[in-house]
Amino acid sequence: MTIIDRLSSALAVVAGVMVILLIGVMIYEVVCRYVFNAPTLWASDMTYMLGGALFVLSAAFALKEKGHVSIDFLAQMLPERLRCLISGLLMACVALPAFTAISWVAANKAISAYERGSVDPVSAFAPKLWPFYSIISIGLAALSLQILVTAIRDFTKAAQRHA
Amino acid sequence: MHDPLLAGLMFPALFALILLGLPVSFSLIATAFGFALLSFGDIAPNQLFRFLDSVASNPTYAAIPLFVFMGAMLERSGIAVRLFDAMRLWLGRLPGGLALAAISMCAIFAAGTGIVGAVEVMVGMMAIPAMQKYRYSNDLIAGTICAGGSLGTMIPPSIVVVVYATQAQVSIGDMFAAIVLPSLLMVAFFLGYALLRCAVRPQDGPPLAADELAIPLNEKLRITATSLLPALALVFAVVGSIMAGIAAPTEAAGVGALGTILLTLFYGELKASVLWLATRATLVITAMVMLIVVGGTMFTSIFQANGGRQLIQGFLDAMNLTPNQTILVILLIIMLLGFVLDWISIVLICVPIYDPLLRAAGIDPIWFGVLAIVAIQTSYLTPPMAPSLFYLRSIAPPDMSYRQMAFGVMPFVLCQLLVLLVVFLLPGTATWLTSFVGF
Repeated sequence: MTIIDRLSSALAVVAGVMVILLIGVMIYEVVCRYVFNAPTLWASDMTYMLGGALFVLSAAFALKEKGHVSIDFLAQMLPERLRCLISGLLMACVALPAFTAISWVAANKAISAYERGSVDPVSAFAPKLWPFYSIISIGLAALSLQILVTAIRDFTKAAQRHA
Repeated sequence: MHDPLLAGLMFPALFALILLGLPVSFSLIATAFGFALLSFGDIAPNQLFRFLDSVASNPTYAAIPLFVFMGAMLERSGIAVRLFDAMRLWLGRLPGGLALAAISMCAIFAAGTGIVGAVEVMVGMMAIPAMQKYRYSNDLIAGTICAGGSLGTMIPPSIVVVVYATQAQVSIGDMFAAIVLPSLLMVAFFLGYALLRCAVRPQDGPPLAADELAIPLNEKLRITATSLLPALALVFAVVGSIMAGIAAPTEAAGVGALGTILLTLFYGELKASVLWLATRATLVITAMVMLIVVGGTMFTSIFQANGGRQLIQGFLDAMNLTPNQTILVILLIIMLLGFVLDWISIVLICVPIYDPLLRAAGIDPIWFGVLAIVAIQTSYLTPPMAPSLFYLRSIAPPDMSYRQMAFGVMPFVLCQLLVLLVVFLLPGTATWLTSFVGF
């Protein structure tokens, strides 16, 4: 389970680099457009790809850090072990199937984008789409794994006699 | 495939999951998934992925990590202490001077971020000990900090506004412009209340001792020039360039983010650890916000696909409301939801549902957006279920009771309702500035 934690943190580091890159791309584009009057073709594609990829990549990390907002005032009133049991069940039986299914679609999409060599249909720069979809599917898969780990931890806590 | 009954069941299912403590974003996505399976069968995962793809590929949302980064960096830049010093020097002589300093500081800081809790905790940690030293009454301290902290939802460049404008399909620049005057009005009301109360009851918030303010004028100007001016310049440059239509929100946010890094460098606080902490906070908050955006998009899309719009329209037709009544009903629902849900879910769930109804009734979506954001901010502050009170509790001194906090915020809640009323009665407060924006 610590391996999954490390995976989530490692993806967050990659996402962190993307934040800095995104700032860099914006500055570069601003300078090109307003100073040299020569906007780039690729900046707008990079913007959505970095923006989209970085939040999917850090979703697992946010779960590990308990950063996903939840409304827990009712749950707080329950005894701790019952609360862990409920949380584990919700994670394992409700959240996990949904995210696993979506990850599966994302992975297929990445593979087919690679095989067909699809490019962005709207963009003038026409970037290849498979790197973007690969990153999205890696992020979603990591999130699914982190959900599984969270559920296992909740169950372990619920099973402990002296919580 | 229309099954209004199924659509009607989505909300109870969602609330059950949320109240059981499953994170809001997961609840939204899981509910959408379950109901999509019921009504569309095997293609449900493909459909849901399409919604995720559309959110992830929307370049407007790239502004969110940048604005969050700007706020997170500003928080760690060391400007906070300097800014509070400057505010204290200028406002200290007035009745309730420290409360005024704290509110003004929140207003400037809120402009730098969109994250309410962070500003509130930071300003609270500085201002509470200072105010306690001068024996300010506890309820005034609590109200000041909570109300100041809640300004982050409104004052541009607020990420609430970014998400709202994107959902309501209006320009982010127009929405920023529309909310400027109501924000200023709210800050003015907050300041006015603190000033008035301490003028009438000096024991609640005395002015600072003269010797604490005995600083030569040029020293005072130097402190101001190195703290207040750079922060204001940054915010005006970012918000101004968006409003004037010169720069796209993402570009302005990128420049703002670079600006805060340079500011931190200028104060000699720039270290790798600071940069990493700010980035890390950015990632966690962005992932949280964006996953709710994804979940909300999935939830409302499946709701609409099941005939949810007809369901809501049917309810409204049955009630037979005038446009003004419709507005009040929607605002009331938003405030009630605000007691339970976070702002992002409210915007994501409600806006796609009511926006077409408003447009059909000929109501200005930007003006209504301002009302809705003020309503969200009000529910953010109103006890007993007020997130801003929870943040305060984490930093409150031991002698401050929950009762004092709850009573302390009430006058500020009234100020917010007053702003809501003013904007409702005089739509010009929201629409006037937008007429100058973007040529």
